[in-house]
Amino acid sequence: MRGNGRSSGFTLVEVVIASAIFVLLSINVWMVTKAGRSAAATGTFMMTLEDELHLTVDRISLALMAADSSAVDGPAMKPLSSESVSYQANLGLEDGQVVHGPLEEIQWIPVATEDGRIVWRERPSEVEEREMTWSNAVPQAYEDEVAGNGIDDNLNEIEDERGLAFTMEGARVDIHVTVERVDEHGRRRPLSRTTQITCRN
Amino acid sequence: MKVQASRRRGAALVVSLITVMLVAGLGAALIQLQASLDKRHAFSIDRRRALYIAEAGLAEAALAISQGKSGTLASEDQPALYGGGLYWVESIDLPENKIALVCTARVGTAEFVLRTLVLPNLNPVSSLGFFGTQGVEIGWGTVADGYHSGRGTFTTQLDPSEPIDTTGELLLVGSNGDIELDEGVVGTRADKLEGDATEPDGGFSWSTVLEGDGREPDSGGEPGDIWGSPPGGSGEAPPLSAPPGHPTRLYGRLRPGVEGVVLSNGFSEIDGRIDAFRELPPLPAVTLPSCSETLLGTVTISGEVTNVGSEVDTRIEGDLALAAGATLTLVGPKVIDADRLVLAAGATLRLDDSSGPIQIYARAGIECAPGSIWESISAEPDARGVTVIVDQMAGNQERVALPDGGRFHGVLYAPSDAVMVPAGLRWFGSIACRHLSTEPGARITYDRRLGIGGDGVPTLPRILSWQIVPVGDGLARNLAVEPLLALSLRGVVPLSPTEAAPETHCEIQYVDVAGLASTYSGPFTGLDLTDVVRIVGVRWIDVRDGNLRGWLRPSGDDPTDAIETDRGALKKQRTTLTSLGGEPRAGLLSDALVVELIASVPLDKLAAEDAEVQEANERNSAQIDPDRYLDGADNVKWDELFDDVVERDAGVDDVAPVPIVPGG
Repeated sequence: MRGNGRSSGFTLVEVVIASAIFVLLSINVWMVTKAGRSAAATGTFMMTLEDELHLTVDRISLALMAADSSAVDGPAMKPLSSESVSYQANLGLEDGQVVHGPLEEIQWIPVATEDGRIVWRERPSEVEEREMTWSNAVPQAYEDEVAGNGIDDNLNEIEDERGLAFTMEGARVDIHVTVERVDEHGRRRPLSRTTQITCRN
Repeated sequence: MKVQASRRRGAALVVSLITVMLVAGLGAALIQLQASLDKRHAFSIDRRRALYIAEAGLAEAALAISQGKSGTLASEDQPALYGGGLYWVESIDLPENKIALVCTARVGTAEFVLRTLVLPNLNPVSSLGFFGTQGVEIGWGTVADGYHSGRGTFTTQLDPSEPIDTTGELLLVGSNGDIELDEGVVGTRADKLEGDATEPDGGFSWSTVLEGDGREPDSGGEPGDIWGSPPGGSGEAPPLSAPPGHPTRLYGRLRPGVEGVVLSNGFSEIDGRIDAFRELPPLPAVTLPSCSETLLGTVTISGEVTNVGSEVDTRIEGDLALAAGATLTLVGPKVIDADRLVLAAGATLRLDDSSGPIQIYARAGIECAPGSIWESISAEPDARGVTVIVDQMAGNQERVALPDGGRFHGVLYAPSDAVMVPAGLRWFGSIACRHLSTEPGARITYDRRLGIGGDGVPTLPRILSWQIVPVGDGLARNLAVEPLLALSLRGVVPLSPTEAAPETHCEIQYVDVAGLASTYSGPFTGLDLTDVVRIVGVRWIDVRDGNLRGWLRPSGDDPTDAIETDRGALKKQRTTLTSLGGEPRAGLLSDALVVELIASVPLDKLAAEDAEVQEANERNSAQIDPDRYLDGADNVKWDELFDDVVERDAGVDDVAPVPIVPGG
């Protein structure tokens, strides 16, 4: 055995150094990975939230744009607001008369203490009623608004507006939507958008 | 031992491979998830962009329609390029002048389709039908209905199932006040509104107020009763004055004012509906034309004469009077601007608008003696439109006396005057005035075709309906290939929006510099505009079928002297202001201060009486820099000042006065 003149294995110092380097590298990699994973998760989370907000606002806007302004019911003038709107779309003219579609309704419905969902209904309260949830992450109050205190907390000229709020002036409807979800750290992350549309009919 | 060592190395390889595959799989899944989110996000943005492009396409098509074109823009094979996306518009001509437009827009990953129904160039006067701002009174036995002369003459559209000669089609009667159906029953509005009032003599008494929803709010009877013949019941029916043999018959729509009602005693037969205006329809101000020739003094016609004046547009500085037995034939295109239109008994005014529109401005009214006649001689489908306009004037005027015989096809617009339609004058078209009434037994028919087109007033297309056409997920279709890329792969170059309308050739009727009517046919760009004073009408060759579309008057007023008048007013005010003199007005002698004052006063005040303009003395300017309007020699640049005052006042209801510093 000695005739080989070579020792097998590593010295203790080598092993210790190698282990230390490995640990340091591992910690570094773990931290980078964790930060990256967290950033990716946050990015994905916010993008999903934003996507949900855009889709919801788009659906509401397009529905109300096609509505007959005289058949829109619910929205109030600022500083009041409403969390629901009922309307009828204009389907065209027949014999000179406007043909309306069935009654439709968009409404915020509470599902828990702080949360609610946006529901679209066609022919509400009728046998042929159809219902679809457009978002189930809409809080009780709009972003930075405290519900029920009678104050315009977020300075948007509306008092105590909900996570879904409509205001109307003439044929112009303002749509205010907040969606809010809990991220991986357990924090509530709200995202809001206000858009203004004009009923085209 | 060697075998074992080799196995260990192989195991490590397998483990490594599995690990790499797991990591790669995880990465791929994450990338796919991210890509999916990105795609959804991009689609959401593209969908909105496509919606905007579709709306822009519809606006472009509506503009084309207002120019008399079909509204078709580009095509699916060769779409138009706009806003980084593509669009095309298909148009379909529908009955009653309506046009359906379907615009498809593609951008990025989304396709959006919108559909609208458009009424081209809706005339704000003639589209009102029979309209009285202060009320309408329909005489007992009047028959009122509607038709569309674009579909043929009135007689070809008669409904044989009706007991009288009528189309049974849509009439339009409207008012900013009440619509009263005079049924020979004496009573006031208050009596009728009370509903349960009884006749003083204790005889038969009932009344009906027809609200917007067609119900009987006061009588308590069945709603259906109000459409039928006089209800029975106790008591004796009140006597009718001069019954014409049949009751009043109205076929169509009655539109009282916001606070107005339809007052009836229930004798009239109404086949249609009642719905009050939600807001009062605005009536445009009368703008007087700028005529190329002027005849001094009253022009009296005796014998048989065709047209007045040698040019198309003729101003008469006096009345246009037709002596007894005279016949004046006006052949369009023709504009007459006279102080009054006067017809003696036995005089006949014949109107031939088959070759062009006729406009008669009777500034101070119409006076037609009993026995005079108006006669429209064009076949109704060929008629280009006759418009008779009486200038507006403050206060309630009674300056219109229509002839009691003949047949008129056209529009009467007298915003300050009361108008009564005699029983002997058969009226096709529309009337808009202060108060409208019809004699017992009158016969009026609303022509819906005349509701389209300029005829002396500005017009705009009206969108009747706007819809999202469901495609794809219900809102928009997700495109697999980027549309611009798909187009370039096919070797197609998209059109620019300015070239999107396929119409290139047209026929234009215009007034040339000699004041005569001329016609041009050919490509639109080939018209020598230096020879054109005024466009009378235009019709385009529809590329879909190669036929000429209908004549359309351009949107907008006829040329008027308004601009020059206002420029003159400004100069006049300068004279007024500089002549004020004295303290504290001494400073007004400076041109700079005159400009400052003029710039501080709303344009309508400047054009008003001098006394009002002197209010300028109480104002100064914080809105327009007066130094802009003085050249090096301190002369006032009137044109620039005028243009800026006009621009400043555009859309401003009132310009807030600013206190002046005494003495400037």
